Amino acid sequence: MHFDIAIVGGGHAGIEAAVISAKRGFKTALISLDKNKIGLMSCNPAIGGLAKGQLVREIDALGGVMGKIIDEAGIHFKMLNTSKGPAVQSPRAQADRSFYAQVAQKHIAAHNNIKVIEDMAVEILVEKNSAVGLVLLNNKKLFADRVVLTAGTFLNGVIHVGTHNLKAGRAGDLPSVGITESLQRYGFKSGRLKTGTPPRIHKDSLDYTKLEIQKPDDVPQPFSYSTDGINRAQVNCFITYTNEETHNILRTGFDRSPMFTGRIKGMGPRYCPSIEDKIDRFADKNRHQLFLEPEGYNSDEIYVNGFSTSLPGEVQEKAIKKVPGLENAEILRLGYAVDYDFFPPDQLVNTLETKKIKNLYFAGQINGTSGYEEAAAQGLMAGLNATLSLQNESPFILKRSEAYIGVLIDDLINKIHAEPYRMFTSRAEFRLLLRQDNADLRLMDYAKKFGVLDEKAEQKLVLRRNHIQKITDSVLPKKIDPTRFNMFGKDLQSSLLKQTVTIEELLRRPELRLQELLDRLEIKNDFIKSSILDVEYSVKYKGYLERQEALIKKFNKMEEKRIPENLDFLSIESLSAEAREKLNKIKPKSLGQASRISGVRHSDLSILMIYIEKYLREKVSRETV
Amino acid sequence: MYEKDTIISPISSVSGASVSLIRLSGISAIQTVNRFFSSVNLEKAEGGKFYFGKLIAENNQVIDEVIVYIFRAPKSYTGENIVEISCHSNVFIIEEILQLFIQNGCRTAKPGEFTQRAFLNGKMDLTQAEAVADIISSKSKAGVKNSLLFLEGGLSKKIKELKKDIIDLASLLELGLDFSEENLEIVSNDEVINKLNILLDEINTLIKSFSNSRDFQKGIEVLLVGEPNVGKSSLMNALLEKDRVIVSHIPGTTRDIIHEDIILEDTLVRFIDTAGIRITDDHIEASGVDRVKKLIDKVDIVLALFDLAEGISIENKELLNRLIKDKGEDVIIIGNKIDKKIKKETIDFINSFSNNKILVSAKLSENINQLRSAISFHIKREIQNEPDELILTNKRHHNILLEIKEKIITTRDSFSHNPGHEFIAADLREIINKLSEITGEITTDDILNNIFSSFCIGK
Repeated sequence: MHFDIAIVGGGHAGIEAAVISAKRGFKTALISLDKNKIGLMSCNPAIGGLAKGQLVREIDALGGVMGKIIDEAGIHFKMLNTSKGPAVQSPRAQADRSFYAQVAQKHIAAHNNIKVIEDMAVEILVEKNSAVGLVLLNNKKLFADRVVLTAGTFLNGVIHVGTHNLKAGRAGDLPSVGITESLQRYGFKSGRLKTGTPPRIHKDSLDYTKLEIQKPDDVPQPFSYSTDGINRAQVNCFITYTNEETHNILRTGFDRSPMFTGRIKGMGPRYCPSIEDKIDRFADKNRHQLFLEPEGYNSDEIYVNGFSTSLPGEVQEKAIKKVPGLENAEILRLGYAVDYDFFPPDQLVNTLETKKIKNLYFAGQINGTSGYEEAAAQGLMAGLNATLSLQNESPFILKRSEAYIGVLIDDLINKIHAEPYRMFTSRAEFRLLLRQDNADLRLMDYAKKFGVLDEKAEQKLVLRRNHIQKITDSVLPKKIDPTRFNMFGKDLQSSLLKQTVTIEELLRRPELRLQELLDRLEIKNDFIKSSILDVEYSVKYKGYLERQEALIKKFNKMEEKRIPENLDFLSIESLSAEAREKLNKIKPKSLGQASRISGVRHSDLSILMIYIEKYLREKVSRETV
Repeated sequence: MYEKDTIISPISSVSGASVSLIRLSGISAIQTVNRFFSSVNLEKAEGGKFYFGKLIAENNQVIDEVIVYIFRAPKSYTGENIVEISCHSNVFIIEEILQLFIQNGCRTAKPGEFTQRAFLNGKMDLTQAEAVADIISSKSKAGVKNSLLFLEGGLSKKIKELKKDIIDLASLLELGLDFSEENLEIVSNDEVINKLNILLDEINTLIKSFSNSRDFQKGIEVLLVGEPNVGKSSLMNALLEKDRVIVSHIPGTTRDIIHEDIILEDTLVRFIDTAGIRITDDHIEASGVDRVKKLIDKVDIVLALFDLAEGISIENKELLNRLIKDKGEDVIIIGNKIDKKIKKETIDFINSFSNNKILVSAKLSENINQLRSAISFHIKREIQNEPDELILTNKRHHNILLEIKEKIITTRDSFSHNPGHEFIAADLREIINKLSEITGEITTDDILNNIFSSFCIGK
């Protein structure tokens, strides 16, 4: 068997890698233990959320499938942060868990050039420091020119509930054994991380009268630019709170907690702590919010979001019954913690190819990230770069100023990570420009260049740009007479206008919205709503946006200062000892990248700049000799 | 980092020499100096030559008579346009010149930056690269060391606290943006404005402590106050007689404030005479009073001069009471005209204060040395001599703090048009980055780390 690209793992990273590779015309193998579990949501049944929603929109704009899958399988759509500005709004949706997996499998099946192989990869085949394929169970060999490893939490996964533990990748599934050891032989370092999941309870065992209702949006907004609208019935989620009684019962299990007793070696995420961690670290808080999320139309399971735990089963059960509305809760599955191997991502370059073995790419949770969206984004980028490298094309690297995906990968390869990495909007220094609603404008040109942009999405993009242009050119400069405006200005809480101004000038008033002005001034138009919002944003926040652009320019200057590949950081005595060591480990490609490595100081950058210059001149003088 | 902006720094040691050299390097160096240069048009002037003229500030005051040397790129030390200004070696003058150009777009040079530019612009031999890097490394180490040493007296702690406060505020804002689903309390606009005002107070205290601690050795300022005809000019002349007067500002009008600089105890002392402004007169211009009040606040020592031969008016009594209330021991009371018949009520009044008192005759130069030692005593108390390097490092810090202060004010005032917290957060991020120029480290993850350790996050 010989493939162009082999992808190990059918999770969210593996799916994107496989689809993008197939879309670009390459013969692709997708190796998964169980083809019916491809696209399974192992943790909470939701896609998107703050910053993650932006990632999904970017994945979609770049030709990925996550947005399309959730649009088909979502049962509760909600735009978050709608009371705030567009830069920090994000879409989120609850999914029907089993339907989500089915839709994902349908997307895989839609490509004839993806072959799903039900097996387990136990070793990476390497020749002359290049990956050439995989060893599967029973010593079968599979050859491929590029290998993308997306093994998730399966590498030497161990599940913990109380004092019990079990080798597994996910509840009910075998772990993947062998890959870590085979990579360690090639000098890869690995570490342990931990994540957890809450108990699932039967939906008929809840007392709904005691729960707060969380309604979905009246008009669900799709994730994918290709989706026109969502017409499926939407379901409610529910909210309740823990109390001191719950906490006291949980505390009785602390002596058997795999976390507190040190049986779990991996570091868990601080932003997604277990309930025992929350009550231990924030002892003064007498209640914690819990979200009760249905797992699907036909599923009996309710996911108790916020109650992630690995305490003994009887403690989980007793504690949860003290929560209002859950007094008679029937636990269908216990919460558990899983710890697993990951490979610190400073062993990768910015294409997600490994530094040690050529043609081998890592994506998803094995790089120490958490979250479906982070995984999918990496899968897409690893897959895309693997195909580009097959074609001898230059790699595709997104800048931090272009996309959250750029921030994600740059952070992964440059920073030291003690906990699973999750995206936050505050990680993006150019957040004001990286909106969920403009991912198409930012990224679709790349997708077109790589031949992975759907026809429908492209048509929409053309129209959207056209409308933005029209509004900017013909609406904004329109002059508005004071008498005209003052007739309705008061209704909009806007002060009297004394002289003729343009619509652009009016729009700078915080209380005025462009759509409203168009309506009131009876300016006939068929403009797309998102184009109107786009122009409005550019006018209202012009000052801030210009400052961000200026920062980007400064930032890019540093990015353009390339560091020669052979520069020996260890030989530069003037650098601080810490900087020397860190730079040598990460081997940054640009001065900008060097500046983001922890421990590198301003003076180190100045010195580095001098050595780059020195190196380049020596090279010139060598070549001219 | 290497940017194409214009940098400025004194390049000769300040103390001792009679002439000092200030260097500007960068694309707009010549153009910037030309705007304030009196004689020839430097933009058209030939490079490699020197020109004589006056530097005139924006308010038309002459700062100093100087010689400027023009070097046009690439024929200069750094390979860029360079102007070197040779001025009188007086810290006040140097300070004024630096400030003039910094306010007009220049930036204080970082340690070793001229040399670094020289290398990057190909003005140096390859073998010198290491030397340049070593200079930067050692100077920045020395800078950090010096400034830490120097800042130990509470300032370094304050800078750290300030950074922590800004990060705390940014965390509160980010909490509302990134974790709005967490059922946590969101910070209100009023709270943010309130916190920004507290920050502003802290920054102001810091900026003040910089100047109090004489980070750029600005010298001592002495203000003379007293009724007209009490003998202020005679006293000035008597004080200045033996010492070399460095600069004399000739007043344009009688409303102007006159100052003269001398060196005493190896320290530059600026004597300021309120000239024609009577501060006890009800009918004088309000602006004059204002200026004097500001001056009293700012100066280090006030010499309150009384005519022993005259009686003492109620206004004068009030004046002295007020002065001593404001400046305490920094007021030296001088009774002039001991050569005349002394009025008992006046000397009794003077003697009723515990302050340093000196009786002199300005006209006959009697007891002037006693006055000098009194001033010297104050100087010794106020000034500790510091190495020259500190002038540059801390001047840079001072400027950064001023920039941060401005930025906080604009951020606070932007609330009037109610931008979202994501915009305020962007402003705070710029401020944190600025502050990291003082601490030298580049930090990016402080805010999230802070959030995770202070708030219960996570569903």
